[in-house]
Amino acid sequence: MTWLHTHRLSLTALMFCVVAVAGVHLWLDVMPIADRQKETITVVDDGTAELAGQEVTLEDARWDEYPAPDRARVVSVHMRGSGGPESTSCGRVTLSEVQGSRTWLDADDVIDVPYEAGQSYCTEESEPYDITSVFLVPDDVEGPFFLDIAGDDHTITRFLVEP
Amino acid sequence: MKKTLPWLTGVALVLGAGIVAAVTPAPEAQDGPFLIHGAAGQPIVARDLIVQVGEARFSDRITVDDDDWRADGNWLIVNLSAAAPETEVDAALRLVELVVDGREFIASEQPSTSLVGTGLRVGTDTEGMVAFELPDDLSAGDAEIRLSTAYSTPNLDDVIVVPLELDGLPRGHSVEIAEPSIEGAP
Amino acid sequence: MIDLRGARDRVRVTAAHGIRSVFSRRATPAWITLGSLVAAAAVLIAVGAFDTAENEPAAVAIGEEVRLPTYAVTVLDVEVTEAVEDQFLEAEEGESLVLVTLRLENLSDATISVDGTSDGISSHLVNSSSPLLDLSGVAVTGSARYWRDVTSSRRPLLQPDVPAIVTIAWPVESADLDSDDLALEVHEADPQHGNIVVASTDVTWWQGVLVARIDLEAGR
Repeated sequence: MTWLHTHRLSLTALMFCVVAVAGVHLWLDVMPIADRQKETITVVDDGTAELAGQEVTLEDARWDEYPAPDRARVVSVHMRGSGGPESTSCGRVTLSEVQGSRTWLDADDVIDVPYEAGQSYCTEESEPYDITSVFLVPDDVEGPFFLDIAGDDHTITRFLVEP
Repeated sequence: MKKTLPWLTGVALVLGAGIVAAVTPAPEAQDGPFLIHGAAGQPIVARDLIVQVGEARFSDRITVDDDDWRADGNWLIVNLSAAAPETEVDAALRLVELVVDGREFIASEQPSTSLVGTGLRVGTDTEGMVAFELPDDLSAGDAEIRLSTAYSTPNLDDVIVVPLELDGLPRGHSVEIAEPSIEGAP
Repeated sequence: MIDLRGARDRVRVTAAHGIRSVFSRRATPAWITLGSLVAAAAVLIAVGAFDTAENEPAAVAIGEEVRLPTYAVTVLDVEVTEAVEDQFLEAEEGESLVLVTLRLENLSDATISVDGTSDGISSHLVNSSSPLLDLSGVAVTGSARYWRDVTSSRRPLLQPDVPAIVTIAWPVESADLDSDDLALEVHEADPQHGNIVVASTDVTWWQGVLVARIDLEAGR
């Protein structure tokens, strides 16, 4: 006790210094990183969302609608875009596991999707149109999935997909 | 004893300083890459890359038949099979380097069908080839292939390193660099 | 009356004493030091340490190689044109494109690119404030484009000890082409590792001494 008493001045000063250093570190190093990674995810409840200047509706998702290579399966997601004068193309579309952390991108370069199935992602159209996104997943993957469509300003529109 | 003590202390300190200086790692070790060593023929897993190094051979010419393109030289062609472990976003082999004989060769950008830069998939292997253009006098030695998803050797991230012996590799007259393909595509 | 005679005598005695002291044994170390300094200076002067550095770049013709420790360059062909269609490259109004086809050989230990950075190595061959290959005799109006295969947009890599034939296109003022002194200046490269701000594994090729001037007029 007497040691603490003898050194009370320096210990108090030390305590203030520690708090100051921790505070400055938090302010300059930790908080900017935390802010940077904020992405707003809007979960879609009723299968319809407003994005890319149009209305996008999730219609259907199926397994193996198209032929897949060995030990892999195809998830095809059918959507309908309303198009219209304000429509633009949407950002990146990804399919991720709900239970798990794997993420897939559109695989239309490998899987033959017929022209009639529509566009691969929402785009600028004047009339309503079909969207078909296909994903090549390994066969150890079960649904359900999140279909995330990136929008402006770090926003993501999330659809729940159960093929 | 009293007279020699300062001298002994001095010598001991100098020796200690010498040992510390010798043992201190180079500045590169502070933020150098994490090297993941593996052997050819088996899948090697890194943070954002799974690679299996396949066959390697020399050739005097490589071709890309679809482009009607060919180039002569001392080419080393390596078959690779690669996939992404977690996410397909930004997944691609971007830095493929051959280190041999004190020199570092980056995989040639000339063949348009090189596996470098091709998007990789999660759960499905992409098979492709890379070609290294080597000087005419280099056809033997112990080499190392370094693979990474970064454009340049990353700081504090994984780099897969696979040893490759160049001695005894077969040499052909012409090899076609086939387009990257999915294993077992229909 | 001031006793000058005494003072004069005292100076004379001190001077005589002083001269003798110069040659006394106690002054020997001073003489040795002075002697070695003079000898060292004489050697340095003889070797040329105090001469002003002169640098006369060699005059090189098309087809002749300029070989430096870090790279070698040979100009193969020169062409002046207004557009290179395969590269989607067109000269602006009042400008022309000077196309120089050269054989470049990277003599260092690692792959480099012609401009920009390749795995941490910045070669500064072109498109730098102090490039190693510099077009002289004309005003260059923008960044140079370059290619190995005219139909490809992929950035050529120069592998160690593997020569490559590359074409570099510089946009220049058309009016400057009338003066007949178009030349390519070749500088030595001075590779430096980064420190403090830049990672120590990064290497930058700084512009060194002007080694050669390749006359391009003959090829036009």
